[in-house]
Amino acid sequence: MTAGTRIALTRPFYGTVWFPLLTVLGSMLLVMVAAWQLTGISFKPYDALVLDRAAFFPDSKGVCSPSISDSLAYANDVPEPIATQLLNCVQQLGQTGSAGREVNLPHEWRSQADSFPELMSGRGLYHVSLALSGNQPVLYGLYLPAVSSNAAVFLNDVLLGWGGSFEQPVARNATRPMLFSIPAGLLREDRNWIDVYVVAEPVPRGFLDKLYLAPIEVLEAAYHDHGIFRHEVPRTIALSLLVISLFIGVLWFYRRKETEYGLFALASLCWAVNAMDQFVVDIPLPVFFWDWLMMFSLSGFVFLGVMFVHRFLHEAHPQIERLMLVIGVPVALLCLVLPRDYAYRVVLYVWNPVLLVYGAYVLLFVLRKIGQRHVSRELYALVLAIAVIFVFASYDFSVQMGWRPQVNGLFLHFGAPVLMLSFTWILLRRFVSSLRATETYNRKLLNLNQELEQRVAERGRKIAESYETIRQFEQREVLLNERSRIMRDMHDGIGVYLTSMLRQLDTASIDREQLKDSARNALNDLRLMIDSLGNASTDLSAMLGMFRTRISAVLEACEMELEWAVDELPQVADFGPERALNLLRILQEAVTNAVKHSGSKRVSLSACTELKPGSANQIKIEICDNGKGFIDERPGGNGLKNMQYRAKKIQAELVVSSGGQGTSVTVYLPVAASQGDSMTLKQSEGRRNGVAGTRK
Amino acid sequence: MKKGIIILLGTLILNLGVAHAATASFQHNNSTGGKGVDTVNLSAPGSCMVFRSARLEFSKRRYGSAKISRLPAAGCNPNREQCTLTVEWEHGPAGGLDYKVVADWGNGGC
Repeated sequence: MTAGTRIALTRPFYGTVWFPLLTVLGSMLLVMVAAWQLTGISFKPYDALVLDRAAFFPDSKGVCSPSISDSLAYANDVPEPIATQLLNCVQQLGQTGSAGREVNLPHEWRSQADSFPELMSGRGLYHVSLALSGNQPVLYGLYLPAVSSNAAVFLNDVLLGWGGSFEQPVARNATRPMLFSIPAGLLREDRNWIDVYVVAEPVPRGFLDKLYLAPIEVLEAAYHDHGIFRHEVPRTIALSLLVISLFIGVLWFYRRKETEYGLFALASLCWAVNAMDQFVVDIPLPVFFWDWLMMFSLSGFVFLGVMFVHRFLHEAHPQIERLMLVIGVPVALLCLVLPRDYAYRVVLYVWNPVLLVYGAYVLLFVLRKIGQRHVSRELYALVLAIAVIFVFASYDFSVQMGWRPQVNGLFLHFGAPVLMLSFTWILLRRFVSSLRATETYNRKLLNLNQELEQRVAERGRKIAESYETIRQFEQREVLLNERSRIMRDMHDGIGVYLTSMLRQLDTASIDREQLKDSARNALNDLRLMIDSLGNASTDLSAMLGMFRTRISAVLEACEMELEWAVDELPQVADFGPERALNLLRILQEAVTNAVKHSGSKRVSLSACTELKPGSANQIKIEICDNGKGFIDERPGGNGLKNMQYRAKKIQAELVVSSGGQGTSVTVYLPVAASQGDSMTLKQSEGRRNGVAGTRK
Repeated sequence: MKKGIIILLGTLILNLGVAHAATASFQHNNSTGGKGVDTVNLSAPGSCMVFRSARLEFSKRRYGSAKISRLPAAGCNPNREQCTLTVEWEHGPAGGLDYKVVADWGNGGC
C-alpha cells in the first residue's frame, strides 16, 4: 500500500471529493422527484362529473370562419353577432353527416396529425352527450382547465361563453382555466349535449383537456387554485425576473468591470420575456413571430447563462461561447425565412435538443468544478439552481417532444424563483462580507489614525520643547549681548572720564575746573546711557525730546537760546539702544562744543525727513550755532574724530561745516537700513561683541 | 322542582325499555345524478321488541335529499309481521348520498 492510498483511506469521508458530489447528485434526485410529482398537480374538482369522451368533428370543409373579427363588439351595424356566428359554425360542424370520431379527453392534436389530416385546418368541434337525472338544487357550471388555443362552449345549443378573441391571432388559453356558469333551467334532467368549438394556433399545439360538470361552488375552488398555479404565479415570476434584471443591471452599471452582473441581468430579462408565454392571452404579434420571440428569448437566456457561469467561476472559454453564437444566430435567422411548418420542426427537433445540451454542459461544468474541490457555498447555491432549472427544462423538452402531455403545461419558469433566491443569497453574502471587511478596515484605520495623532502630539510636544530651549538660548544671548554692550559703552564713555579724573588727581597740582569738567562729562555720559536704555530708545522723536530736556538746563545756565525745530519723524529701522546712545553722544558733543567754544548766544536743533536721490529716505538732524566757528583754530581735533567714528558706527553720515557765520553739525540717518547695511551693522555688532569679549 | 324531577325520572323509566338499532345503509353516488326509492324490511334487535319510530342518519349529503316516505305501524313486531319502511331519495349531478336507517324499538312484544 502506498503512502497516498493510506492518506486517502484515513481521511474522513466528508473531506473527500465524493461528499460534495454525492450531495449535489442527491439534491438533484430529490428535485427531480419533486418536479415529477409537481407535474401531476391537475386541480381536479372534488366529486365533479368528469366528461372524458367526446365525438370530434374537425372543420375539414372550412365551414367556420378562420378569424372572427373583434370589431363586431364596437360596430354600429352588426348583422350577425359573434355568438350567432359561433352557434352557426357549431351547428354546421355537428350536421356534417358523419358521426364524428370518438376521442378520449384530454385530446392532443399532434399525436393524431398523421392519421387525422383534417386536423390541419386548426378548427374542430367536440360534442359530448350526457344524460342526467335528479334535480339541480344549485347553480351548475362547466369547468375547462386547459385548451389550446381558444374555445367556445355551448350547452344544448346555448352559448355558455368563450375564451377571448377569435380574430387571428386568437386568444391563448393553454394556461388559463375557464369556468362557465350554466343558467338555471338550461341543464335538463334527461338528455343534454355539450359542444366545445376549439381553434388551435399553431395546429400541432392544439388540445382539449377533460371537462368537469358540477355545482359552481365546487368548481370555483379548483378554478381559483388552478388559475393561480398556471396563470398568476408565472405572471409574478416574470415580473420578479424583470425587477431583478433591472436591479442587477443597475448594479452592473456601477461595477462594469464585473461583467457577470451584466450577463445575469440580460439573462433574467430574456427569461422574463420567455415567461410571458405562460400568461399572455392576447399576444401583440402574429403567432409565428411571437413563437420566434419566445424561441429567441429562451436561446438568449441559455447563451447568456453559459457566459455568466464561465465568468462567475472565473474560467474563460471563448471558443465555446463563439461556437454557440456561430450555431445559434444562423438557426434563429433560418427559422425566420423557412416555411412555418419547417421552422417549427427545426426548433422542435434541432434547436431544443441543442439548448438542452448547452444546459447539460453548464451543469456538468459546475459539477466538474465541485469535483476539482473548488467548493464554496456560493457554488453549492449555483449548482442547486442550475440543477432545478435543468430538471424543469428536461421535463419541458419531454413535453415538447410528445413524451409528456401538454395539458399539464410547462415548468421551466418555476426554476426562476430558485435561481433568484440563490443569486440573491450570493449577492447578500458578498454584500455582508464586503460590509464586514469595510468595518474591519475602518477599525484598523481608526486605530492607525489614533496612533498617528499620538505620534503627531508627541512630535509637537518635542518641537515645542525645542522652541522653548531655543528661545531661552536666544534670550540668554540677547541678555549677554546687551550686558556686553553696556559694559563696552561704560568702558568707552564714563570709564574714559573717570580715568582722566584719576590721572588729574595723580598730578601735583589739581586743576579743579578740569576735574569738574571731567566729572560733569562723566555724569552727562551716564545720563545719556540711561536715556539710551529707556523706553524711548527705539523712537527717535521721543529720544530727541528727552535730549532737549537734558540740554535745556545747560543752555539756560549759559544764557544761550535754544531753537527747536523737529518735524514728525518716521520710524527708523534697527534703531535700538546702541545706535540711540551713539547718536546722543554725537549730538551731546556738538552742543558741548557750541557752548564751550562758539561764543554764540543761540543754538538751534532741527530734524526733518529728506529724500535722498536714488536711495531711501533719510533723517537729517542738524545742530547750528551763530558763533565764531573753528576753522582756523583746531581743525581735525579729537572731538570731531570721535563724532565721525560714532556716525560711522550707526551707518550715519556726519557733515561738519564751520565759518564766520557759525558752525553746523549735520547727521544724516537712513530711515530704512538696506540689506547690506543691516548685515554690515550686524557684522559690526558681532565684531564689537568679539572685541568686547577680548577686552574682558 | 318536584315536578321536574318526576318528569325526568318518568322519562328515564320509559327509556329503559327502548333500543336503537341501525337496520340498513345506502349509498347513492351517481355522477350524472339520480333519484329513486329504497325499501327496508325492518328486523327487531330482540324477540320481544316492537317498532316505535325510525329516522335517517346521513354521513354524506351533497346536493341531494332523502326522506322516509312510508313507516310501519307503531308496535309492529317483525317476528309476527312484515315491517316495511320506504325512503325516497334524489341527488343532482356531481352529488351523492350516504345514509342509514335507524329504527327505535321498545319492549312489549311478549
